[in-house]
Amino acid sequence: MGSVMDPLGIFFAITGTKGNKLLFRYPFENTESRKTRGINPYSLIVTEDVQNNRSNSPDSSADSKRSSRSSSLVEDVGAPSGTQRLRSLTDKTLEHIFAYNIKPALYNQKFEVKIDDILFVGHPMQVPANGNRQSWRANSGDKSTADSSQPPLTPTSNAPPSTRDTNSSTNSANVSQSGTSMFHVVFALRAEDITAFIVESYHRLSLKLALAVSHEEERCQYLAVNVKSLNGSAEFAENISANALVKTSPYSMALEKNPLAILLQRVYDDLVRDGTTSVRVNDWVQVNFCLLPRIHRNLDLSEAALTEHVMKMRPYHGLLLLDEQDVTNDLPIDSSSTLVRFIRIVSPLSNFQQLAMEAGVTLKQIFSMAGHLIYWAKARLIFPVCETNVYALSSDASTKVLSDTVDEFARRFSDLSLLEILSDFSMPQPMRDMISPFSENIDTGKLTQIVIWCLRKELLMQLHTFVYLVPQDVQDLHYLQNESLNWLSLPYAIRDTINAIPAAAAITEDGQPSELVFFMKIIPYLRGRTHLEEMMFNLNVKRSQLTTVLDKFREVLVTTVYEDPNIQNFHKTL
Amino acid sequence: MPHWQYGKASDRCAHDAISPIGSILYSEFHNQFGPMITYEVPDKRFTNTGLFEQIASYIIPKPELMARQVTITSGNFRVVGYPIQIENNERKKYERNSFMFNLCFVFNIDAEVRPYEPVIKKLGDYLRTVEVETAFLSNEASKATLPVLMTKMLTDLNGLGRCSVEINLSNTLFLKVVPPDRGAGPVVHDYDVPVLLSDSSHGGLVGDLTTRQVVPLIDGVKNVHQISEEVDADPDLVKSCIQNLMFYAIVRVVPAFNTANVHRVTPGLQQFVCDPLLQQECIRTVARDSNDLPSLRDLMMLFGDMQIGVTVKSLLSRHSNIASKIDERKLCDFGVIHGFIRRVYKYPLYTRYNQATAKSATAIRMFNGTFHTDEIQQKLDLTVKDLDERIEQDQLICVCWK
Repeated sequence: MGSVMDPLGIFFAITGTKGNKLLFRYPFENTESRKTRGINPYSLIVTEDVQNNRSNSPDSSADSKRSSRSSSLVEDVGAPSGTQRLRSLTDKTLEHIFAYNIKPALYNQKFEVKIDDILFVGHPMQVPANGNRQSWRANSGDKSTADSSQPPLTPTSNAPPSTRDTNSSTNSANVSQSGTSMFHVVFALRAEDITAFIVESYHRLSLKLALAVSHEEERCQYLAVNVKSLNGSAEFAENISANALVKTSPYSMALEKNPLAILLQRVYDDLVRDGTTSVRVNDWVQVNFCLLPRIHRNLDLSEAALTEHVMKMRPYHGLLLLDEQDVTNDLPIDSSSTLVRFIRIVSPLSNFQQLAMEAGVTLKQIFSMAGHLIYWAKARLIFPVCETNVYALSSDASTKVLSDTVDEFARRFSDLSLLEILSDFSMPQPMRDMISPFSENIDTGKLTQIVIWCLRKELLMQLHTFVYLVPQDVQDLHYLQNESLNWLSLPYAIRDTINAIPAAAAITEDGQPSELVFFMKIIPYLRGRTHLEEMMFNLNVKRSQLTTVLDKFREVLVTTVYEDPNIQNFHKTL
Repeated sequence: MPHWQYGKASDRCAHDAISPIGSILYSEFHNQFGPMITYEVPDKRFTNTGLFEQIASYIIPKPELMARQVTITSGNFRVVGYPIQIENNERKKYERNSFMFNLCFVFNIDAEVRPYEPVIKKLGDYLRTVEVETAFLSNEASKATLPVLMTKMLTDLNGLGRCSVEINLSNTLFLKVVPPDRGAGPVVHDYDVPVLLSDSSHGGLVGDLTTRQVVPLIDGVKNVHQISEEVDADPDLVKSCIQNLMFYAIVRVVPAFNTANVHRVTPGLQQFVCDPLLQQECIRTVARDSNDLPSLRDLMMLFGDMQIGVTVKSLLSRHSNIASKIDERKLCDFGVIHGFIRRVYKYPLYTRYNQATAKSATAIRMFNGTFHTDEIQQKLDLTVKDLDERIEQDQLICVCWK
């Protein structure tokens, strides 16, 4: 499914002794038959039928299938489509935007330019100085303005010669052939819908890729080799096109053999498909990236909001792995063995405290591993599934009669219908009370499986009981805003009202007003922010004890039931 | 029918959420010096950074980027421009055969600039026209009036969100900053009931013909479809008119009221607890008699007991002692508008639904889980009772609440 957060394209441009070049772009069009905007800048952009255009073009290269697939994914979303938008800019123009226009003073910092409804974001990276100092100087020489403000990473010509420099001079002949002073990985994004956080995420990815390429260039001239090969493809394509009627795109040539082009293509395809990517630059430097708003299906998500959510983890919470398959397969090979063990024992039925005991690690470690899984959208924070839980249909749940979810449910639980289950969950009640109305082909175990399945599909939300301390004659509720509410900080009038309740006066055989003492302990939680389960955990009491005392003092209490805002609000789906 | 209201409409026109303009630049391509900043108001804060040298190629760009919105973010600034190139024409010959300029707004790096983009485009196109017609920019005398105009734009757009600029005697330019979420307005359905949030604010709004007809009919009872029938206008027209009024926070839509409706309390109730003004407003709004006001506990009990499965009717009978003091319709509307409660709709699902059912002539074709009973009633013109009977008599129909 296409998303507004997907990139429209990925680009690779360089500045070097031979000028500025857009060496690779993906997706691209196989033919150059498209109409460009021409000389008059006020002319309208010609809207063409992209699909037809493409089907006419010969599927000469092996990658055309792949390129058209990703492009059509982009086109699904709204108009004007991604390719159509990018079409209004020729490769030459893009070359200017990504390389020619970027003065050396703008190297090594965030690049963000918006043209109409396309936003370009990248990080122009100066090529590591040890390899091609000479060429950089040669390049900046013909730019009149540049020399005065040299970027900080440039070594000056009178820098003391180091061992590294002498090393580099031996292979400088090799590098100066490519003569690259700057390279630039750019993403094109849909400008109108995306948030600053998404732009920043793509910038970070561009920077990560640039750093990896830069490192590999320093280590084994990865960039120089690739630039040479990409230049080669461009020339080769030009030669072929000059001789043949059919024009060949240099970019499809590059995809056949150039590792960097294949890498960038993979990054783009991964992002469009999953919103995450994990690649190795030059089979060596690992680059991992996930677009948080995309994988959490929340356009407005920010890292801060996610962190805040993760910080709300409590020992009584549990973890629901979202994928029924084994998550461990997705982990990098060098991942921590504790994490693998943790994933093996995680169950939606047990809370973190139990998991910590079972795994034999501290709760803090469990929290950080759980937070990690939540961050990568592999798991979700839940309250462990148990018989006393009350579930209701989530407001965003799809109740469509004909849908894949219904079919999937029928395959998974052969003798049951999802629609009836949803209907049963429409009336909130504790899980243990739901069994009786069902036919005999369902038991607690099966119901639990169903609940877990529905939670994964976000069809259900859990309701919790919250209690407010609101006596009848109270005129304002400011005391409920007191973060450290307790018996002593309550207004006198309210204390008097509570004391007047019969249960408060009841004295046990050892002369203590035990009910009142217990109630006093509960008071900090009667602000409507703490649910019954958390109270039970914090006070270490049984549910029955709590409900009894709440019932005895019910004339000053307002009891209500709603979802836990700490868990639920985060799952606002697009 | 009196116009009853729910609190003050927040004045969206005072654009607090929109980032202010830092400065306004007028940049042009000088015959000898190339791209340069000719004027900057209010001071030279951008000029003095020297950043212009670095990004000049995005402000006075190559021809292919002319007449496009170009925004460049660099250093601590975000520069939004609309570069214009004018070729030689019959009135004017330029020394370099063309005249290039760009009137840019400069913002802080983290500013939201989208609201300003239409303004900048309009400004650029307008300046282009006056240049072609009267050589406004290439004539040194008239160009010198620019800083004054730019200063006025800066103060007015920042202060009021709108501005009118008299370029010369015969040309006046009107500019307005529009908040960005205009396009993605809330969806209005046929079955939604609009309510006025405030009586006073729509007085100032000179609406179009439909709006003027629609506003007097908003009484908190009629739904959009009924209003459109009454004014004899296309429902879509009325919907977009309501959307527009919602954008200016004059109107909100609520579900049609019926005692069989079900609401459910949400964590939004915390807002009620935390806001004494809201509590007082709620008490005043929902009371039937100003001498017999409900207490805070009464309201909390009512809101708190709104759960799935509890209709308004059963809620009132459960709290019969409070019920007499409360106008239940206002209570529900107030709760929905402020987000303490949300309406829970009933979705009839026909379990044997297939492609043939979809073509059926009876109500059953709508029992596919995408329509709730309010919508079905409105579309098929059924009463609540008829539809409920229809749903109950069929064993193959199950009901979901969400």
